[in-house]
Amino acid sequence: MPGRQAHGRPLIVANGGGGGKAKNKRSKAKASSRALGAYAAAQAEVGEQQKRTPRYRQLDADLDDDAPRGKHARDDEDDEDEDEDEARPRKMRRGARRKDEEGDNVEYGSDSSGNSWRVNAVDSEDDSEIDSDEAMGESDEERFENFKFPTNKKKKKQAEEDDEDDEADNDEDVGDADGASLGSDAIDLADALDMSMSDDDDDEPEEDEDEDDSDAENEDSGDESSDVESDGEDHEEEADINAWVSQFAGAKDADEDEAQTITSKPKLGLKELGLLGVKDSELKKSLKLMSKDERATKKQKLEVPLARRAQAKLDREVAYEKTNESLGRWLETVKAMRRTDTSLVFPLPQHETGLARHDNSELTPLNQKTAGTELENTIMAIMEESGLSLSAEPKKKAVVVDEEGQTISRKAMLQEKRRERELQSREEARAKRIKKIKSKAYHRVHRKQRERDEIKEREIMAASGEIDSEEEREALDRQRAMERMGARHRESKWAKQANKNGRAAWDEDVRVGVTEMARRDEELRRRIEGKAANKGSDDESDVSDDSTGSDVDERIKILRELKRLDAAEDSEPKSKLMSMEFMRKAEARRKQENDELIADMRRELASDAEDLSESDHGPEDIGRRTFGQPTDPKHALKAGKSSKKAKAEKTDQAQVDINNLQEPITSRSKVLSAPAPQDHDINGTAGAWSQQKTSGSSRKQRGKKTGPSADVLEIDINSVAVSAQPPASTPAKVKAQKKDNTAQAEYSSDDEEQHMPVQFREQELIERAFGGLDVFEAEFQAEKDAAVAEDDEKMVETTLPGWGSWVGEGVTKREKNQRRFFTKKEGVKPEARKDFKNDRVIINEKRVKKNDKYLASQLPHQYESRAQYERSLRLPMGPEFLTKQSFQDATKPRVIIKQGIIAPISKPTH
Amino acid sequence: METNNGARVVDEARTSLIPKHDREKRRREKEAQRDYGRGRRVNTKTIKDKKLRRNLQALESKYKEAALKAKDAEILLEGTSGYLEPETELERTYKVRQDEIQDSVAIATAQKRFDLTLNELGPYVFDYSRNGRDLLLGGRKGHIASMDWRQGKLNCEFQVNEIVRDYMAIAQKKNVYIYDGAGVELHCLNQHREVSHLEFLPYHFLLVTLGASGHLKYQDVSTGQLVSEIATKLGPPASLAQNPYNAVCFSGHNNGQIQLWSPSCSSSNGPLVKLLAHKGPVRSMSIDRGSGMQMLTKAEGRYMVSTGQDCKMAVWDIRQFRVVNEYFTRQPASSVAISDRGITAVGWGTRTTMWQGLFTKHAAEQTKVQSPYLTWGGEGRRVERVKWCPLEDVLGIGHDEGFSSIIVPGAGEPNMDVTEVNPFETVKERQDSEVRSLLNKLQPEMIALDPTFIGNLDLRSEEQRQAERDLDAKPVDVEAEIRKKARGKNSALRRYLRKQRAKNIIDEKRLKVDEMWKEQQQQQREQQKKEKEADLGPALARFAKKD
Repeated sequence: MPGRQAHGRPLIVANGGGGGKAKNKRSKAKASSRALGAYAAAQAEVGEQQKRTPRYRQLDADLDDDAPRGKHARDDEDDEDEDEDEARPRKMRRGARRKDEEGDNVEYGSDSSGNSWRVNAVDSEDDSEIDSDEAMGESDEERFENFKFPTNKKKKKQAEEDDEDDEADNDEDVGDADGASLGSDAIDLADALDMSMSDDDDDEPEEDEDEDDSDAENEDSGDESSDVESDGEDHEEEADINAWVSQFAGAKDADEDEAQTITSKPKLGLKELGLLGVKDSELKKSLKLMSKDERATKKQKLEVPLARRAQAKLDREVAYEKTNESLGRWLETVKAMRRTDTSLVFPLPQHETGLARHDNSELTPLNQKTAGTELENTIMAIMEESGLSLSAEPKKKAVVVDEEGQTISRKAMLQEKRRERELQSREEARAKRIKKIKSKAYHRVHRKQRERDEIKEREIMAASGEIDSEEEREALDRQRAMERMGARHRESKWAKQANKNGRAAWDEDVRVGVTEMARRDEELRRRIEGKAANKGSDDESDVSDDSTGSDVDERIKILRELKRLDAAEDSEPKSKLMSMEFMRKAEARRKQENDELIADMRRELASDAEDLSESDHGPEDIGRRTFGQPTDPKHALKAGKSSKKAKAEKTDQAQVDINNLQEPITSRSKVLSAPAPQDHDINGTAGAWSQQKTSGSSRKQRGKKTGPSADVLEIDINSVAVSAQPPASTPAKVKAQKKDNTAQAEYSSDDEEQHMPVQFREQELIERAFGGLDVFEAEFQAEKDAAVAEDDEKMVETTLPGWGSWVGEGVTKREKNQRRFFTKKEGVKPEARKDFKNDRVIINEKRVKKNDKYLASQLPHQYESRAQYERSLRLPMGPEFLTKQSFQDATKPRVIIKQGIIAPISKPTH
Repeated sequence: METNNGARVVDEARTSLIPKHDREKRRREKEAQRDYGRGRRVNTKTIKDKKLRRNLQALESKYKEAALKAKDAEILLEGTSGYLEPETELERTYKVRQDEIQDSVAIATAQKRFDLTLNELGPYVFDYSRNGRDLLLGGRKGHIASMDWRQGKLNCEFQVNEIVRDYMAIAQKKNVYIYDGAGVELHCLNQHREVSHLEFLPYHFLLVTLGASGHLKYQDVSTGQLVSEIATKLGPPASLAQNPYNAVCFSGHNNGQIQLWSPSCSSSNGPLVKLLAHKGPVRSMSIDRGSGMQMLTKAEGRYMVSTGQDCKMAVWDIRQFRVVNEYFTRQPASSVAISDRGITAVGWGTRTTMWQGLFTKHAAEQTKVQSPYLTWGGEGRRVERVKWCPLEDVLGIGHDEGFSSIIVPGAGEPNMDVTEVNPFETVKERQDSEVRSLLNKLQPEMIALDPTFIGNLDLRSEEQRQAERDLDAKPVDVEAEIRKKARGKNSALRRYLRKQRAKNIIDEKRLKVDEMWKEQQQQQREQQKKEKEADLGPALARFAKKD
């Protein structure tokens, strides 16, 4: 190892011996040997040992363990020839390495300013190193690419491998071994050293890059491949060296000559010129140029390399960093594994390359690609043929073709669609909706037709004798006719005339008619919209429920839709296109059409509604008291008549009629008419509401039959309701009473009444026997008080009479009291006792000492509070207390090793 | 309500924006927690330490999982239980007679109702074995019989010409005797004198006796040691019962008190709890096992029913020690027993009544039951003892004319845990389970009101502990300790050193021991030397090799 003092010396020596530049390398070696330390000396010695015999070398090499034999054998032949050069190349290598290190290591800084070093180097020792580095500058390299340096490099390589310069080989070997163990990306120290070494090879920048690339690849391809690759590289190198060795013999002499001529060139510097004080930059520049030339020529005068130890330190530092970095990548993996709740199962389920690929635990599904064997291939072929191909064909994308037959992209298509949508006017959309509604209306109309047909059929049936409703139907028809006569349609001639002439102003008849019409109109509209005509119109809606409910509903729906159409008209924002003139015109036209359509439909619907109400619900309208119109007695009479028929037939309509007739009564009695048991004779065809009413009406019907008036009936209902209540409630009350009795008394089953008095007597006796005395309670209370007092906090006097003071006669009471001591004895305050509020309980507050051995003396590590710790103890582990699954989960080992090849955990990829 | 800025304050905000399945899940979790949960969860969100937080969160999820799994496992319980139910309001279940029940049930079940007429040897006490298979009868006048009651097979029968007070091990007039299955006397426990009540704690292998002197004695039947002897200081006791949840023994006394004991109690410190239950002597007590599926995994003695001489029957909540309800009996009830599913049988006078729903587990407020579930008796046979047969719908009644077994629908637990008690076990299984239960034997000191106290933190302050420590005790002398045991070739010292050297811990004790070791060696060497010298004689001794 070179001594520390060897650092800067050589330059001084070199400078000092400026005149000796022309000497041959041996003298130079001598000079350097003087300057170097132990290691340098040894090196020089090696250089000097020209006459080393092969035998000696062999021995030497044997001492240096690992160098491969073959190489040595090869080298031995050349050794005699090389001897002269040997010292030089080695130095060159050193220099080169140094330089690169500087390039690598930041602490050395980028010494790119090769211009000024020469001047500085004159004074400072340190800069001498830079000097040597600069000797290997890029320009030089270019210049001597195929002349001198190749030999040097090769030489160096060889030297690295076969010479006693052990480290390289050693390191490589070790590196290989370690690299394998640490994974491809991990860089151990030795490797790092290697790398730094190889980084030194400026001559092979391409190769370096390659290596880097391969490294990068290695990251993907894993350990094995990288190993293989590096091996290949080694072989390549070897081959190169061999080639070079064979070629070397011829070129040797020329080299020597050349070297001599170059080295003999005198060195020129400011110092030499005696111009130390010169500050002229021009001059310096020219000098620099000169020195550059010089540098190129002075290959032999290389800088003493950094002390080995220092270098090793640097290497170690770098290596440490690298190793840290590569190990740091595993951090997440390790963390994740530590944190998993489930246990780790080896082999790990990993799908990267490596051994995990050979997972024999599962079979991969067979497909075209994986079919490896012949059998599999044939099977696949057969399946293909028979159309059972496993590989699902990729779905063909729906190709959109435009008018010209060209495929258009999805984006374009979307755009197109958007445009179309834009163009499609809102009015058109509206028209569509209207049509839809209209079609609904159409269907409705048709349904009505169907219904009429049905009625006809019924009539036919009635005619044939199945239903004898002719009379009723006749009555109904008559009613409807009267209605029609009375009805003054708004659209009718009469109405128009009335409007035109303003007859309503003076002709009272007309005015009444108009108001009537308006009223009806209003009512119809309301009914159409589903609003109750008045508060008590439930029955009305009920009525419409059975026969025309759905009809009305539909009408309402349609109307609503229409309304929505109207409302939605102007709410939408207008696009640019729409705001254009022609578009607007077209739009307006359409709108008009649409509006007309809607108006038509409205009219139709209105007339429909009227028609409906007229045809089906005429009697009801008449009977309605809510409209404030006096009912026609005639109608009532008719209704009465029809009701009689209804009684026979029990149709809903008839019932409704009665309802209307008796409305005030029923509405009053509604509350009372809770469904009584008598109701069961009513058939359940009507809805829930109507059932209630029919119950009332049926009763009325019965009442009518028997004779009594409505008032009587009302009372009757009340009485029924009232009388219906008690039978339900009284038994309950009775039962409750009984229960009370039993609660107080006894549970004896059969003869409660008999025993009750006896029991009470007994209780009294018992009371007198036990309760009166209250002995036990008093005892207990005393016990409790004692316990409370015992456990309570106490002041204990610990005074020793006479301690620290005088005793005896003549001591005043005050003095006595001054020296009294009390200590407080901890305890449980009465309020804090567990049995504080419970008179009949004494809970022992004393500690049970024997139990203490099962208590934890202190909070175990990790837990922050008692609750946390105690909580952690409460989950049982035994199979008796858990389901099988939870038991197995709880006792599952942390690491499970399954049979199979256990691959190392795959390298983290980040 | 509207605030001045126009915002409306909603009193009861609708927060149930939870989807249905989620609600369902929560409900399930809640139920599982109620039935199988193990205490309140700790708040893990406030924990600062990351690792601890993670660990505790994992733990909480384990708790939850376990509860949910247990709840899910309920579907494996095939047996369903049902009671007699009246069809109309007028019908009463207590009017149903035993022969009616017997007619309407399956033959196998009907056979479980029988009467043994043994009217000569006085009122009988009895007990079933834990798996409900065997029955032991003891007549007051010395008749003892053990039988497999289902098969009607008599195991043994013999006559001791003494008063038999209690059973199991049999408390006779003076001593307690233990017999084996064939009626051979195995042990005579002569430390237990004049015993009137016996109780056996199966998990602790403790036989509890309560004698006329009022001494409560715990005897470990696996080792034969008398664990503790406590004087109740209340004279002859009236009753004894155990809580199956925590193995605490309840002794009823003539002053109306019930006292709760554990073997760790002492007569100076008194019982764990004293209750004033009745105004007269406490005739009988029974503690429920807890009904429902959970009892398969853990008993939970929540309620106690006690009867007193004051003609009262009290239902207690023994977690809070509060009276739930009080009932009257027409005569002082001599015996009370609670079945697996919470039906309470009360024997009073010549009658026995069965009550259903005296307590319900999750009810916020216990209802007072108005009428009994079933009744039996009234035929002049004075009831001495009632006891439920485990895992069966059968109630045994011991009276002065023998023994009666009656059927009470819905009393037994339909789903048995055969790992706990197996009525169908073979001899081998029984032997195995005996060994297993011996291995799992609990220590007597583990009995406390809260059986989960084990491992909890000792909350005494250091001051308190210091005060309780015996400061006057002699400091332990290492030398004496080691020397004392130093006998034989492989001495305690050598063994100690061998073990300590491996550990390489140097402390005061170690130094002392080393010194002792050296001393010993020295002595040995000198001894040898002397022997050698003695061999060589005084003249040649000077030439002896010195080492």
